[in-house]
Amino acid sequence: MGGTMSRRHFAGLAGLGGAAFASGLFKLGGAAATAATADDFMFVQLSDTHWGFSGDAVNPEAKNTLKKAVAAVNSLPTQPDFVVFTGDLTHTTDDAQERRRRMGEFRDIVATLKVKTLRFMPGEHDAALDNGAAFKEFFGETHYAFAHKGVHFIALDNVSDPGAKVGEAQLAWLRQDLAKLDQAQPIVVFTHRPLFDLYPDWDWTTRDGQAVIDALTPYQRVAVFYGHIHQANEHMTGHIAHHAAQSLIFPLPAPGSQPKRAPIPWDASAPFKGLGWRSVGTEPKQAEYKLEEHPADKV
Amino acid sequence: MRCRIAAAATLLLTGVAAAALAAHEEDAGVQHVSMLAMKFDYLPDTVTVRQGRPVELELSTLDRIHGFDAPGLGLHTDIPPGAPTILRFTPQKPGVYNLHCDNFCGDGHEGMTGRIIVTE
Repeated sequence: MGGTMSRRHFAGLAGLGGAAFASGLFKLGGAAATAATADDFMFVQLSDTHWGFSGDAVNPEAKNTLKKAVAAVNSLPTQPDFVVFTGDLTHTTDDAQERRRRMGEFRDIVATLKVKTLRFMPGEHDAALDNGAAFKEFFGETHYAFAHKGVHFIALDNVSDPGAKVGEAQLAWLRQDLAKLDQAQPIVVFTHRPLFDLYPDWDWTTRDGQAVIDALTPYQRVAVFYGHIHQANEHMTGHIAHHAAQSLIFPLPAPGSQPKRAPIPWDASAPFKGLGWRSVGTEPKQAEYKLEEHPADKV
Repeated sequence: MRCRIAAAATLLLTGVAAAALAAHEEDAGVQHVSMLAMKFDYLPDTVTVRQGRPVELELSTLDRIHGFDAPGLGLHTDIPPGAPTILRFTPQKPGVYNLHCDNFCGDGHEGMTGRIIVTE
């Protein structure tokens, strides 16, 4: 199918049962969206798979949920250009050997994806206890940038520091990377934790996230995709859109909706409820993103 | 949980935790309270202080670095091993303020929470 993606293909994805959210936030000068171009493409975001988690009360299908998502992505009529995993690939453990075993199993499972361009990022469960050492052994650097069909992608690590900081060294790298770009350049940022204060009482924030937002703010076409909160959530900081993804292990309650951020129990009458993954149709010329949420029980 | 309680009880016997768990004390108008952090609890998990009077909150850890974040009171610090960490503040408004560990400490970190109750 190649790497192109048309509006018809975007619509076709909705037929898989996904809920769509169009992020048309970047129509500079009022420019309207036009017909699809050869540069349009789609990527898939999988997040918070927590491979190695065990707890029947919240997910008795923990050993199957990731595999179902892989099968679902493989069944898409148009394959994505790449798949990004926005952290918490594995569930944490104090045992360094067990951590590596979980990472190895995770890597083997996602290697069965048809698409072979995979972008990995750590969550605190992967990286906070050893500052990302095991993650780097299996998946490479924890922060990086790459260009794809006119979009500049930046993966930021706000978890390898257990105190949930990006840190001065990475901030300096980010500013240097951004300095090379035109301010109209479409930019997509991947992080694990929210960069803004979504709900500090539940630690849904990044200690120095505002410094990242400040660095991004001069750029007119920025969108952020992240995980951590185990639910879809949309938020704006100025003109920057922040999109949280569902989890593939257990959902968490809406911010502040209950006293504690405890996982939502498994509902036997609605298995996999609240779990899913996301496809993102991308139109670089308009810097538009069409988000479609796919439930985890559909293949 | 049973193991953690047993560990805490052992420490109580040593007298180390006894100091950390000392009842609310007050001298020269300063309220002295203590909390002990360990995977994955604060001990005690709730402390009560009075509005409008200075508080000296002593935080110690038994095992590793933990965090202490009480956004509603504007309080935040890491709790490194070694010496106690002291936070000084004067609560202005009665209420129940949640706190949590914001320094990832393992499988159970997300449940490491507590409260500061400010009374009139």
